[in-house]
Amino acid sequence: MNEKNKAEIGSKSSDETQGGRMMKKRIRYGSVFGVLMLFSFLWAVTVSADVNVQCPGDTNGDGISEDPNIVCRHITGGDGYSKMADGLDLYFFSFGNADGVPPAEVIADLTLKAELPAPTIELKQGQELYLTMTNVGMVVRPDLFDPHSVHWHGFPNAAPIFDGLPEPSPSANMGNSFTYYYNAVVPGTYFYHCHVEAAEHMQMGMIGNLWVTPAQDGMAIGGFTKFAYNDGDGSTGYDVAYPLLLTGFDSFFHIASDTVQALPFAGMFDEYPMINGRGYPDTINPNNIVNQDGFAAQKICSLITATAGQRILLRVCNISTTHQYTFATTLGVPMKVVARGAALLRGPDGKDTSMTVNVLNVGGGQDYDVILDTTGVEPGTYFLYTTDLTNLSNGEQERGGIMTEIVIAPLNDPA
Amino acid sequence: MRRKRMDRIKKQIHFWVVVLMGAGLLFFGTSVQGAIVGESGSTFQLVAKSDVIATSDGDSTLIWGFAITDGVSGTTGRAQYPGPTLIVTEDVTVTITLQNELPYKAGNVSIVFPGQQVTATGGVGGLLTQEARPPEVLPSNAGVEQVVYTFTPTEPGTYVYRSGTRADLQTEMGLFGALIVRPAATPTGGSPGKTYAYNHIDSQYDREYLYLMSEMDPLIHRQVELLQLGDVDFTRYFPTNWFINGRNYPDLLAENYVPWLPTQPYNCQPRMHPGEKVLIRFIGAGRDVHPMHFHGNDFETIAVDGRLLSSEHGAGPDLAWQATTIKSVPGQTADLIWGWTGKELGWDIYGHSPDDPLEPDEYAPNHGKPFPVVLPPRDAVTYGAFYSGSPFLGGEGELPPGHGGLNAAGGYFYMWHSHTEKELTSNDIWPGGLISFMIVEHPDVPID
Amino acid sequence: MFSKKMIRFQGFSLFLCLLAFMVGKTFAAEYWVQVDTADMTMVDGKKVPVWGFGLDRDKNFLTTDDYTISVPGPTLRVDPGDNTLIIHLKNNLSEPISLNILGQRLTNNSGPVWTNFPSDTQTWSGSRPAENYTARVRSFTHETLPGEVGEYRWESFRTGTFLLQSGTNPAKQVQMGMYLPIIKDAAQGSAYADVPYDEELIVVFHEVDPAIHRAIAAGTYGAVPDATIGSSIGRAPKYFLINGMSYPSEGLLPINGKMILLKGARLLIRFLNAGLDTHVPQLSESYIALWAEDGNRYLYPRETYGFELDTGKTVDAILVSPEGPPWKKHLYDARLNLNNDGVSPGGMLSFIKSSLPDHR
Repeated sequence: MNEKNKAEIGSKSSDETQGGRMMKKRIRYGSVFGVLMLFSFLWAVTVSADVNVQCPGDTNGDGISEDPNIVCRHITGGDGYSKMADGLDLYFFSFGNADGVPPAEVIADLTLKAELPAPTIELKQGQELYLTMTNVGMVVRPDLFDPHSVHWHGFPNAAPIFDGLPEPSPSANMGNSFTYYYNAVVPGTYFYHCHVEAAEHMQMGMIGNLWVTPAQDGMAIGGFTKFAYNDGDGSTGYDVAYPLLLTGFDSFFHIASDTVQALPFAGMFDEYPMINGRGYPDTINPNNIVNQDGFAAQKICSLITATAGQRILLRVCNISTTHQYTFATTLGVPMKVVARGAALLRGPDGKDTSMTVNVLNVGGGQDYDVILDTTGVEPGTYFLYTTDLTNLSNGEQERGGIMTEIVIAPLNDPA
Repeated sequence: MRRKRMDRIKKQIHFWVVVLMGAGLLFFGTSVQGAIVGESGSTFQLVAKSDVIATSDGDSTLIWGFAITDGVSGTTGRAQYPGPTLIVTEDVTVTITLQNELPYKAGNVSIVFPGQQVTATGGVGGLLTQEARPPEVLPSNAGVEQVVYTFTPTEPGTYVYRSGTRADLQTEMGLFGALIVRPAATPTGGSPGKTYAYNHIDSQYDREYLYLMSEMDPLIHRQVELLQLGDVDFTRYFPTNWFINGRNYPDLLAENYVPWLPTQPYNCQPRMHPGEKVLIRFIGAGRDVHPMHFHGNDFETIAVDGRLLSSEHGAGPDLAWQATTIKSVPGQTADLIWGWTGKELGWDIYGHSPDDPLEPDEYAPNHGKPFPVVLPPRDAVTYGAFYSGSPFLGGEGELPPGHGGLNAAGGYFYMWHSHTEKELTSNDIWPGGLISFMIVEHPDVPID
Repeated sequence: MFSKKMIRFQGFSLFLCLLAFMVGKTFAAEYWVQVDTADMTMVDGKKVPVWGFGLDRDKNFLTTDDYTISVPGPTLRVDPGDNTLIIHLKNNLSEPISLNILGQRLTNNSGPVWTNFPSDTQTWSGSRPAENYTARVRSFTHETLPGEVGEYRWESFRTGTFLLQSGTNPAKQVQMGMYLPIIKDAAQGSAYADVPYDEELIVVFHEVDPAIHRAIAAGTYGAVPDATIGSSIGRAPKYFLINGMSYPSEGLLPINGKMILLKGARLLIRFLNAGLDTHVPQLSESYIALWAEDGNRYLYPRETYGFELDTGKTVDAILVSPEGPPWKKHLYDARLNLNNDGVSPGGMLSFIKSSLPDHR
């Protein structure tokens, strides 16, 4: 066997798990940590735990590669508490941020620190992403031993080993890490989520924004230097960009999970629709939303600001497990959908298939790039909201849900 | 060594060929070239009947479905869910005769064919078209009432048919099916040996698969079973069962016409080799929208509702759009072309060393490139049932004890599923519903 | 017979017009619209309270009961030559209202209006109060208070088919019935550039949840004390309507009255979804060409027999009459909302007919 081209499978620090054929290769941290992990667990595991960050080119252990073409990220899969816009505290699962955290401290420091949505991942076209996901376990539910995974939704020509689908691949058990590798050659708006027991883990909130900026960025085309895609003509050029990750929580499901009840899959119905993990008016709050434990679980504000005449790029996706959401703005200018599913809306021989609409429906799993050209828009405050008006709710509370504000400032605003 | 691995694969292939050939006797109607199974021809006799289907949560549910009468023997089979896939040819007149053997309280039955110009004769006039009455209301010497629907499809493509009588209830109960119109001739510039979905060479495909989406609210079926039709209230509709081609996951993995699902003949098990083109005939047969997400790669939507996405007639699908998720719209259809090559992954998907020969359609720049990370040891992870033990296409590796080894040929499994994840359950049981897997097999693994 | 006075008056007004023209005054479509409560009778005879629009007959709000409320409201037109739409709005409800047209810019907008939800005792207009992240918007545009008259102007009114709705607490007021179609053609007989038509049909889809309507009418909906229904999240419609009617209302059978469509005649169908749920308009037996969406003309038309019509969306389609009269083509919701409060057949089912001419 030509060992250079086999998939290397690491071994445990404290015991030999494979035969001699497998190469043992540790990129970092010695066996001491393995022993420490054993004792830092509050629940029984039959094998030793291993937090292991793989980041080629990281010479000083800060989780950042010296190679500018390599992006290393470290996220944790676990649980936490979030706060809905009507004040309801809801238990949830998601990924937390472990960038740069020494592996020995990950489980000790980062349990119950899931974020909603999960940390945003941004890449440049051509970069390679080494994404380590460490399963820190669900502290509130010590009876659960779910693995977690990361699925990069929409990654072209994916291979199952890094696709995050648990059925045809290995997924990290509690206390362990898995490093995903992606060669980001296709720019666009994507998202990521856990795919283990998808109906449950995604309802519980394991979702995050992800996008790849195009190689064309930096060139001056049509008055822009930032583009959503390699359009060649500036048609996807923008001045400011905002992600809009739409989803919903079913409070009954989350409460059942929190209180160790049977999970009501059949009755699942999202009554807390959200943008980037918050319902209105929390969507416009520039501060973090802090949960019942004082942790900033919901960090992303969805307020959209631009100067009159600027072009706004909206990276929109919907990851609700129960609903599609339609949205519109009150800007009075149409929305130009320039791409869908991380593919520029151009036919096979280059025909313009972009869509100009006032109202856009986003089904689960769909992502769109929408450009708002604010030329001619009077300075003021406008609204982006769902025209599925029942979803302007935070549960039984009205005037909430999927809504955010668009503030257009005058051209020469001194402020 | 690579040669040892290839020998192992060849042994596996030999094993599978033997298995498949032996099992082939059981598989009548087995697809050739991944073609969709169904009833081919131009004259069909359908009978609306009631029967029972199995759902993957272990339950059985009453349905109303179209049964097909064999043209030669004259015997009518059981109702099926969905109705028979009718495979017809462009410009050839289609004649469908419909008889009603539903329970008396079900009332009349009929069929509408959206997109077709239909002439209906016989039976009685209904809200949308001619309807066939149940035998109980006919005069005793009247014999059987038949409605005849005729139409001549003028365009090839993917279509759907549904009941036109009390459409909300009868569609819910299962009275719908797929209609496939094959092109009359090879399109200009095409090869006679190849298969095309439309009259344009850019609709060429190597394999085709049906994705006919539907859903059910079991409470309504219980009410119908108890003959409480008057109590059925669609304002309280709440589906808890979802189907692809009439089966939930994992029943849809079994073969077509598997004997233990006698009223659910069609499966959903797409397979292909890298580099091939797969045509997905995507149909919304029910009443809800289902956003289907395709892991592994983008698809290209080339046609909607039996019409190529075209800037003008004859231009082919020059307005095709790509994505990984598409909504099935009730009553509407779409045709998607999907392919996978594994290009630009940055590592060799076969685990080659640089001097190994290339596989067909292999992305040469990645040939021989090493696997980029160290995989965690076996007990640090959970191995999925379809993991071969190796990250490579056609590979295999050591599996933990108790693992079923359900992927002996080392194929790449991609879940094609609804992204309204609630629909991945069957009556509250996970997993179920709208889960399916496309398997990209190593080029040496025979598919059919 | 015209008196000398009239001729002089006409001469004077002609002079004024010429003057206006030379000064470059805008050509405007102007409407006087009343908003009031009403009782809407469903197809099964049950009454449901609604809030809706009605055109004031003498255009001056001076005479009481000079209007009829309908849901959907009356179709308003802006002529191809008009570049401005002005609506004078009279509010007969006991809460503020406003107007919003998706896709059009309200030129004289002095809103939006925020309140200190849920008590609504304080309001702020124009911009969110500084550092205040709990105030919630009540109206997208400036409000017309109960009993008052407001003016709404849209300049540079765009061509197309649009939906005018209340811009105030839309989940409540739009649901209650405050919507109407508003249309501007590109030219006489042409919906958009190169989209000519011979006849027109407007098809508005909407639904009614009587329990929510009754709670709103009784003042027990929303963030109010003694609320029986706090929000619309649990909405479950019982009635499914096209143009304010459900099958078997006569007005749907056919939906296009006594239209005579000869072979080759182009029927423009303007679809609008004024409801809160997605619908799929479908024609049996026919393909149509979709030419525009939300008032935006497509680069290339799309041939189909049905399509997804999302909430708030408008779609313009051309049906070419395949032959002379008579013919009939069914138009229904392929999502199969075909019942009236659970009773079948009903709901969103109609047919389009080409009628033989009446012979008197």
